[in-house]
Formats: sequence, C-alpha cells, structure tokens
Amino acid sequence: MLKLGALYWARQGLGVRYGLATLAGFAIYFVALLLYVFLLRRVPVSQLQAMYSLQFLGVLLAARILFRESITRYQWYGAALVAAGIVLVGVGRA
Amino acid sequence: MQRERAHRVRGWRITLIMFSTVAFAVVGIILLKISMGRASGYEISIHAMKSPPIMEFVGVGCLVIAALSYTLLLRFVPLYVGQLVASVQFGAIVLAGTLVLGETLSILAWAGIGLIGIGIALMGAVSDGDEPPRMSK
Repeated sequence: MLKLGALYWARQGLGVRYGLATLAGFAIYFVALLLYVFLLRRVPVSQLQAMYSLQFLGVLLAARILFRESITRYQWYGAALVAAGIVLVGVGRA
Repeated sequence: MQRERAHRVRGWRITLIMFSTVAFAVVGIILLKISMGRASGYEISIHAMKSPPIMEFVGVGCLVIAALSYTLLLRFVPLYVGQLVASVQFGAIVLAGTLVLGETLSILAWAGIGLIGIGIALMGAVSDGDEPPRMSK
C-alpha cells in the first residue's frame, strides 16, 4: 500500500488516493506489529523470526505480480534460500 | 586532508547507524519477549526487576528507533547494504533468543536460520550482471 501511495504521488500528486493508500499502508504495518507481539507470547523468538522472514518473500512476489517490477537472478536465489531456510526451521522444530 | 577526515567521520556515522539498527531491534524484541513472561532462561532473575508496562513501552520504543535507524541508513547506503544489515539483525535476534532467553535450536533449524540470513542478504543484490553492485557515493 505504501508503494501504491508513492505511485499515486508520482502520477497524480498529493491527493486523496495518495492519502488513503499511505494511511492503509501504515494501518497494515500497525496490525502486523500487533500480530507479531501477539505471536511473541506463544512462539519462541527464533521460530518467529523464521516466520517473519516470509515477509521478504511476500514483498518480492507482490513487487513482481502487482507492480511488474523486474526481479534479478540474485533476488530469486535469495528468495529460494529463504524458503528453504523456513522449511528447515520447520523440520528442525518437529 | 580535510576531505579524508570528513570521509572517515561519515564512515563512523554510518557504522553507528548500522549498529543502532541491529542493537535496538535485538533489545526491543528481547524486552518484549521477557515482558510477555514466557522467557525460559533468565526469567526468574529478571522477573524481580520486571515492570511489565515500562518494559513493553521501552521494547516498542526500541523497535521504533531501530526502524527509524534503518530508514536513516538507507539514505546513506544502497539497498543491498541495507539488506545485509537486515540479515545481520535477523541472525542477531535469533542468537539473542538462544543466549539471553535460553531458547534451544536443533542443528537443522540453525542451518535453516543460516540459509534465511544468506537469502535475505542476497535479496538485496540489485545487480543482475556478473559485477557486484556498487556502493553509492
């Protein structure tokens, strides 16, 4: 949403759409923080950090699918390593 | 001479911002975790000095400072350096979880944490060629 706000700003200037998108972006950030704190009560820090790294994958995929940004080879390799790492943490926990 | 000095001061400033980005995030997460009362390691000794609301506020405050430091850092360094710092931060938080909170991880999970750290750092690589990304001046 913050990226969308930045795009609106670049294309249409500081208008209602920019304001709404940016506000929604910050609101989602706040909800994510609350969820993180909620999960911190129940899950060990190390496992929560592994879950948290999912956001890097989500942002990369969103950039590709929603904004059609070009993703470099290195970024795809990195995403694959993060995904493999999350699986390993999950298997290592079991 | 003066230029060299200014360059050195800038380097120290960036190092300090990097350090505060990592340190405040680690302290913030650990304080929040301790304030949740689920820490398994030093829970009892820390419980005595625990004052939940203050600890939680300080923890959230540290996270906010870490986020601001990261934003500030991105003004001085390229994104791939920022991602390197993010990967160090990731590893430091897991390490603090084991050292301070007494959490245990299997070897397989440690390998996974290592892969995630390398992956986060790699995702900051913006260059697609064989040349490594260049630091902006």
